[in-house]
Amino acid sequence: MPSHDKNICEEKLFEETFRQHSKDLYKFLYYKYGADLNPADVVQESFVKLWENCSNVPPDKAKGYLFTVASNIMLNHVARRKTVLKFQKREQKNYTNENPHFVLEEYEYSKKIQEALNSLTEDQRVTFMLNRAEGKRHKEIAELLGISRKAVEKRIYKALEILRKKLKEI
Amino acid sequence: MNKEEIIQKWLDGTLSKQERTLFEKSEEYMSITQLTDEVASLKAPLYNVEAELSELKQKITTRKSRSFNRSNVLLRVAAFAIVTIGLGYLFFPETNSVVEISSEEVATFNLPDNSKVKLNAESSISFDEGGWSTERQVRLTGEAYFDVTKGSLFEIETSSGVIRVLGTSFNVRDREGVLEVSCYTGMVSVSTNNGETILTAGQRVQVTESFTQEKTFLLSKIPSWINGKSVFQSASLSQVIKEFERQYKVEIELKDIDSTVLFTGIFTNTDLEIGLKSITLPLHLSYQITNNQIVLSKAGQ
Repeated sequence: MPSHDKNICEEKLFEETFRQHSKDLYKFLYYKYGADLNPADVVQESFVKLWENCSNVPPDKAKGYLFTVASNIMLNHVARRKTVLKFQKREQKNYTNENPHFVLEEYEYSKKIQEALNSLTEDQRVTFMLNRAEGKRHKEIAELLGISRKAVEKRIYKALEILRKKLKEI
Repeated sequence: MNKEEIIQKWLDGTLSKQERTLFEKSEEYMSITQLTDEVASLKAPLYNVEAELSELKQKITTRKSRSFNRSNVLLRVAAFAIVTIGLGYLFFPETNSVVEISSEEVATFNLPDNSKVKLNAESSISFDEGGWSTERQVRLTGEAYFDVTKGSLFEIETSSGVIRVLGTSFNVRDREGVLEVSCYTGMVSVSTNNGETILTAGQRVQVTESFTQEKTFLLSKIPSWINGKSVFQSASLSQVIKEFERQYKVEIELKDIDSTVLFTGIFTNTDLEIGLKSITLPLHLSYQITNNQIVLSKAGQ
């Protein structure tokens, strides 16, 4: 392994660190805390902190540092209230030629799913969404979250079970 | 394999073809796919890495905690067409094979899936070669023409917006704060802070930080710079001059000339004096060349 005589205070390395981790960090925060708490801003704040501390953080520790700092910033935002997470639904189809009854059912189904997602633990939700919404493989997710592959599989399966159960209930 | 294992493997995409066909007939499959399709539609909004990076850099300079100079990534090399390929990130053990290509001149090359990219002068792209099969993402500075093969979603990040494609050919120009995307075949989506625009074949859109122009129509089948010409329609003289400087690697000084004047016309990229005359004659200017420096002034002075 090459010696780390480079540090993140060097502009080019700092930029590459951003390019490498920002998107994953953004998605992690989005699925964990929802859209309302401005995950993109928190990503930026985390990198500002990294820049300010650049001489104390070796490049191979940057990712861990960023994820920790970001979670701390989020927790400060969240305070002690229970957050209701809202996920934006992406524009998918043009509904103009479908019958209104069907559209209403779809809308209600979508709401049920969001409520069910809210009921998952944060860990379950992040892992599940990274797999189902982002299309990431179990191995990738394990690396990203720093857990074992088995743990990833368990969380996803449990999340799916809970969601299916919730949907049958209503 | 019990039910749980089958679902696990399906979630990870590792079921064999036979196993899949069997699973797809089950009752489980219907309800699970409906659920997971819905979940997939709740995917996080697009994150534009380059735009966020620009914003971050501004935040840092305004905090004045350290100076953050614009380092010039593109190395100035010699006169003929040279493409420099740099492998970045050797010190990050978990990433592989990010390829970065910067070009001084017009250069053509293939991406791992045989999509073609043509870079105009002083442009650069970078992409992750290793991840290419699952995600086709490219970062672009400057201008390039893409001919994309059909396949998974293809995304291009510029500092002003993200372009998403599915098997098509189009031109992306991101210069001096203006993003211009021209679609020649197929369909392209352009996402910026101002919203999303979809272009079909023959359409072009221009986006600045505050404004997205209406779609205009293209008359040609490919961008003119590929044929060695730079074409302008109501572009400011300063934009024309900047492009001339990029094509010929010269520096141009304007003496007592209003650079906001609009120019409609063409200059060739392959003959400096003829190209220069195409600009100076219609605007009644004269020029003086000393090595790589050119001075333009009003004719008759």
